[in-house]
Amino acid sequence: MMTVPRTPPVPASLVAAIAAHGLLGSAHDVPTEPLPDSEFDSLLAECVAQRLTGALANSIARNRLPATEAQAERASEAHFVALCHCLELELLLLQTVDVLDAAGIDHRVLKGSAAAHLDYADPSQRTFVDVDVLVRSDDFDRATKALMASGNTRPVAEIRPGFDRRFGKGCTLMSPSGYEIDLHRTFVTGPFGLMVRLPDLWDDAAQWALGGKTGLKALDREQRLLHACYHAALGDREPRIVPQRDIAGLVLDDRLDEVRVRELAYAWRAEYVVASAISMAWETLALADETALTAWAKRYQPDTRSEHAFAAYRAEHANYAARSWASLRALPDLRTRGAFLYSLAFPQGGVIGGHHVPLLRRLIRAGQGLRP
Amino acid sequence: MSRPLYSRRPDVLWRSTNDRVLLRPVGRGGLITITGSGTFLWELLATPTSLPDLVARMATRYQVEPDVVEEPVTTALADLENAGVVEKRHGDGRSTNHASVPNGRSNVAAMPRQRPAAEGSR
Repeated sequence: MMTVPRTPPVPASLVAAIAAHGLLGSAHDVPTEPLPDSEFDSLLAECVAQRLTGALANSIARNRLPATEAQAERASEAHFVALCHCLELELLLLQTVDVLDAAGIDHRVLKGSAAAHLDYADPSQRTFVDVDVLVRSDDFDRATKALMASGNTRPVAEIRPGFDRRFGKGCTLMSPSGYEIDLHRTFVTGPFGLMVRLPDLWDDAAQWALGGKTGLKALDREQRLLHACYHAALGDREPRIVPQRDIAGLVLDDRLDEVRVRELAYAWRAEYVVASAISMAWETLALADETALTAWAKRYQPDTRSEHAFAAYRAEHANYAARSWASLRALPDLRTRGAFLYSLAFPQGGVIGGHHVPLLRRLIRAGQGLRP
Repeated sequence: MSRPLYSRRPDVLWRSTNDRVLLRPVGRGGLITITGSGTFLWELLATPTSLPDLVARMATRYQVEPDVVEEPVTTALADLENAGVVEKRHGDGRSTNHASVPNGRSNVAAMPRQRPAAEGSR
């Protein structure tokens, strides 16, 4: 039997040390000599997967991470490729924004390009792989239609007409060039997505210019931090490092209004999300500098209700059904809860939780959410 | 009559790495890569600057006489202008730009590679 040579695992602390490049006060050490090629290749692969090619290439160029000339070249090439995609994605973002503007739909650019230009001293250090745009719930169907009319496709249909606009996080569209456009109406699926006080997101906006277009709108700084916290704490089973790096940069930014962050977190019932994401970022990146917000995050004790909601995302049994069940508690009245359950039990299209499942299984899965 | 000023066109998306600048004009052409001393020229073009000033600053940076860099700078500017990423503005505000770029990745601004001056010597 042929055996495939296994690449050596990359120490998580080394990847975190690379991610912390540009932040003051990280206690992570980096090697003092170039890594053997096999280990460097594993590190490079992990940095590509974690979208940290900019931090890796820059760490090498600034002699923070010793590397051979060939290794430096491989890191530089990987970053070059990532940036080529970013430029194509920014072109797609401009087209997306033009479509929404033409349809008279207000919007906010999320993550990706907005984070790169607004929250990083050098936008080249923040790479991304898709376009994320937020629209109001009332505009969601119209925005989807307008973007599909301009050539984008929707690979997964809506569960039932109106489900996305009422209960969903949003939908994913595919551009003709093969890039994803994530159209959001809130930040995440499940209870924490439903508890975001959505009108707050439209009170204010940060603006920047891109490719000759002025007045592109993103969330304001405090809301960008909250969104990064949702992304870091609830977005993936294995938390990604990039949103944690975003959080660290925003929290250490003197312009951040920490009081407002806590007020928004309280209003959106997301204090546990924000506290755990900030604590996680500080631990992952081994940051020494404390702020009032990091001190609060360390002290924060969640209530039972928040713990149950959080478990629907992060616990061992966490799945779409558990999040759906937990969502019920976040819905305002019996009628709305009934409509939500009915949509899940009798879908007209699409998939639930990423898989086609029969009706009986869906109900059983929904019931499983009862047991924490 | 005042000298024309060269600057980056605003409708260009771009990113820089440690040794390259990537450009993507909006609505035309494909990716363009600037390497070597062309990256410093791109840096200078953030502010509208005349050809003599560009030549002088490139010469200082690369520690050579201005006449050594004049021709490469002129050629690079013409390439960048043709690629639709740089514009030349006359004293009356008129812009001249050719902007005919084939699709695909191009390389422009091939300046002679010379050692940059040390930071402290500038």
